[in-house]
Parts: sequence; structure tokens; C-alpha cells
Amino acid sequence: MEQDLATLAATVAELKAKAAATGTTFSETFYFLTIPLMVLIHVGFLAYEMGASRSKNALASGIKNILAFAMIVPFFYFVGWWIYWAFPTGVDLSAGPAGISGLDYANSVAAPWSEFMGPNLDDRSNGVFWGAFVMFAATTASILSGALIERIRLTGFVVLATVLGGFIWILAAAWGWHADGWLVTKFGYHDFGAAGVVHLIAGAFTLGVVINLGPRIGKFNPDGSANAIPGHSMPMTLVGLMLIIAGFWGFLMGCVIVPGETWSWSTSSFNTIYGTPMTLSGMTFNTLMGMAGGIIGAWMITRDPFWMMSGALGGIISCAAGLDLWYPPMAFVIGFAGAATMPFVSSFVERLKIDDAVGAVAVHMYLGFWGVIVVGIAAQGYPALAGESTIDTSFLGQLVGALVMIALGFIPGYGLSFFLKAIGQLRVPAEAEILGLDKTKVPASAYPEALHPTVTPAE
Amino acid sequence: MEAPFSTHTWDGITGAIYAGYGSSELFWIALCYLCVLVAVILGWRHEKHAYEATKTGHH
Repeated sequence: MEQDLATLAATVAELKAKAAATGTTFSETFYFLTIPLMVLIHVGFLAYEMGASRSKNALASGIKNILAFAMIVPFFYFVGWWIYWAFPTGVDLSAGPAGISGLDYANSVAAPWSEFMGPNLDDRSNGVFWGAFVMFAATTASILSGALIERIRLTGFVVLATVLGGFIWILAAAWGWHADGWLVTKFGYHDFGAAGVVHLIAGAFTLGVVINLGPRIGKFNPDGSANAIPGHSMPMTLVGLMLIIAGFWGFLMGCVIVPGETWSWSTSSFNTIYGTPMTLSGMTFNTLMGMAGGIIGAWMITRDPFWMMSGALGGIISCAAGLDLWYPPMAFVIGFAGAATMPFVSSFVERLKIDDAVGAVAVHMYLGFWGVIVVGIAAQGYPALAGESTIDTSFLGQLVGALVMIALGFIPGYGLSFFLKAIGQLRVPAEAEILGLDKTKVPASAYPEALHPTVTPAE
Repeated sequence: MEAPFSTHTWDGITGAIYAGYGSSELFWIALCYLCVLVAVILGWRHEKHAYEATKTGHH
């Protein structure tokens, strides 16, 4: 009998150990797989921006895009990851109620000299979780990238992108995309898919930069009317946008906390970053419906292939903050409404003599704002955190969050670009812009056989 | 639209949790259909005008 009990105990212990190992390897693999999927977003941005540029600037746009990604990686390793864990409660580096924030916690898990910031046989999660966040950071910087094509200085852009991706968005994430974040604990801010902490803040930062950057030569006529400056390859842009959609699924995977780690919110089910319960099933319903609504809404209004594909992304952004909560037909209508109104915002921006080359302000700032606010309109009253008797989601909470994101994005974007402009490091010289950045700066020719001459009035 | 429960906690919550569960599904389904219908009708009209323009030489 005693021998049977001892054997049984040993078997149970062995099974528990195997289950734990399965759990940690599952979660490590899950976050690992988000990374190649999110790299697809950058394949997409690369194609999209090169296609949206005139052929004389195609390679310069591509290089800018890749270099932003590359520069963000080390800065996110040195500082960005630490910011996420250090600042959720505000600016005083204090620990929050869930005990996973503050100076000491950040130093222990995210200081670049921490034992967990490299291969560590007892830690299967920090690197892959960090990696998913690096990809978020790079995605945020890529949003800035498109609006500035054809006239931004490469090194000036690298500074802007690194600040946005390595410092600004991650501070917004600490505040609004963390269970100890003050926007969440004090205002019930809910932003499951980062409509505010990625899209709205990147769009606001971009607006600040394009105001200082100025329009491309030939974009506006003396009488104030605007010229279209078509990119040299709409097919490349469309394929690029579709790749962004494909990669976005990896982004959404990265928004989920899976069971299996000691720090997982649950041992048996998926949760949001806030610790509230969710399912991949529900997220899938809403993502596809929101995307479909976005495509159809944008097509209905513009007929333009570029804006129609932007509507796919716009539909997802519109629904992103509440993808864990929507009734799927509601997600469709939210995406439809957002994408149908997005082109009017783009026209409005253009009437203000702002040259946003790819509509980043309309797609990301406007729809990011819509995405945050609509949770406060159509998904009020949900507990914003795990635990007993927590604060609920509300219109006020979402509004406060949205305004904080706008300020946190616009002020640094405007300020830093103003400084770069003052020291002559923001914009390329007019002569280089007219000749083409590929020839003058890269230097290389995307189409040495001159298959795609540009013949717009802007020439 | 609101959460279908008002407990101020997720503890003990099971089943459907989507916004408006049990109260507004038909409304949203109808609105969804309406969006698609309007989009298709406007699209048909746009296509019709586009092809007619080719016959009159205005394209």
C-alpha cells in the first residue's frame, strides 16, 4: 500500500512537471511565432511605401523603412523594454497594484545587464515577449515612415523613428496597455489591440512631423489646390497592404497573454494584457468582420484601390480596442463606418495644406481615435482588470486615454521635428528632391532600364 | 451598448460576453445587411455610369 502511494505520488509529480514544461514551451512557441508573422507587416510596409513613391525615390523609401526597423531593435533592448516595466504608474517609477511594475521590477527583468536579457535556461519567456514588443515598436515607427516619403532626410527620420518606437509608444503602452497602467487602474481604459497605444499615438506623432516637414515639391499649387502624386506601382502597394493585413494577425496574437508561464494571468485560458478573459475565437470573429466592413466601407466611398485596401487595415484599427468584446456584426459596422469616413479626413488634412503622402493621419490617427472612443460608446461597463470589484470601461475613460495618446504623440513629434528642422536635418535639399533620392542619396536606381518614368505635374 | 453583466468583476462570468448580448443582436445584424446592401447598390450605380461613359466617349 505504501509502495503504491509512493509510486502514485512520483507519477503525479512527473505528470505535473511534464504539464508545466508543455505549458512553458507552448507559450514560448506562441510568442516566437508572432514574430515572423509581424515581420510580414514590414514586408508589407516595404512594398507599400516603395509602390507609393515615384520610381526615382523607390529605393530611398525602402531603405528608410528597413533602417527604422533595424535602429529600433537595439534601442528597445537598451531602454524601451525597461520603460514598459518602469513607468506604468505614471512618471514616479513606483510599483503598481499588480506588483509587476516600478523601478525595482524593471531593473530586475529589463535592465540590459539583467540575467534575463539573454539566453537563460530558467527563463523561457523574456526574449520572445520582448521580441513581440520590438515588432510592435517597429510597426509604430513604420506608421510614421509612409507619410514622410520622398523628402525626409534619412538620418533625421531615423532619429524620429527611434524616438517614436523606442521611447514614446512604449511609454504609452506602459500607461494604457499594462495591468498597472494608470490609465487602466484609474480610468478603466481598455485598448486590447492597441488602437490608441500604437495607431493613435503614431498618427499624432506623424501629424506633428508632417507639419514641420512640409509638402513635397509640386504637391500644392500657388492657388492652394493639390496635385495627386501617384506612386509608381499601385500593384506593389496593394500587395503590400495585404501583407500588412496578414502580418497583423501576428500583432493580434501578441496582444494575448497565454497560459503556461508563471506570470500568465490564467493557467487554463487566454487573457488580455490587462488580465481580463478573452478567446482567440471571439477575436477572430471580430477581426475578420471588422476587416471586411472596412474594405466595403472604403470601397463604397472612394472606389480607389489604395483607399479600399487601406480600409481593410482601417476596419481592423477601428475595432482593435474592443476585439475581445464586440458582437461580430457590430465589429463589421464599426469597421465600415470608420473606413467610410476615413477618406473625408484625408481630404480635410490635404485642405490644411498638409502633405500626408499615404494617409497615415487619416488611417491611424483618426481611426485610432475612433477605435478608442467607440469602446466607450458601445462597450461600456466591462471590468477593466482582473480581480474583485474593479473599475469599469467608460466613455470618460476612453476619452481621457485618447487625449493622453494624442498629446504624448503630437508634442514630441512636433517638437523633435521642429528641432531637426532648425538644425537643417529634417528635409533633403530641393535639388536632391527634384533629381530623385535614389540617384542622389542611395545611390542606386530601382529601374536602371528606365521602365517607369514619372510624368506627374509635380515633375 | 454595454456589457451584458454589471458585476464589476470577471470572477464567475461564463458564457457569451459580447456587447449587447441578449438585447441588440437583431439590430446589428440588420445594420450589417443594410451596409452591404447600400454599398452594393452604390457600386452598381458607379459601374453603370462608368460603362455608359465609354459609350458616349466621356471617360
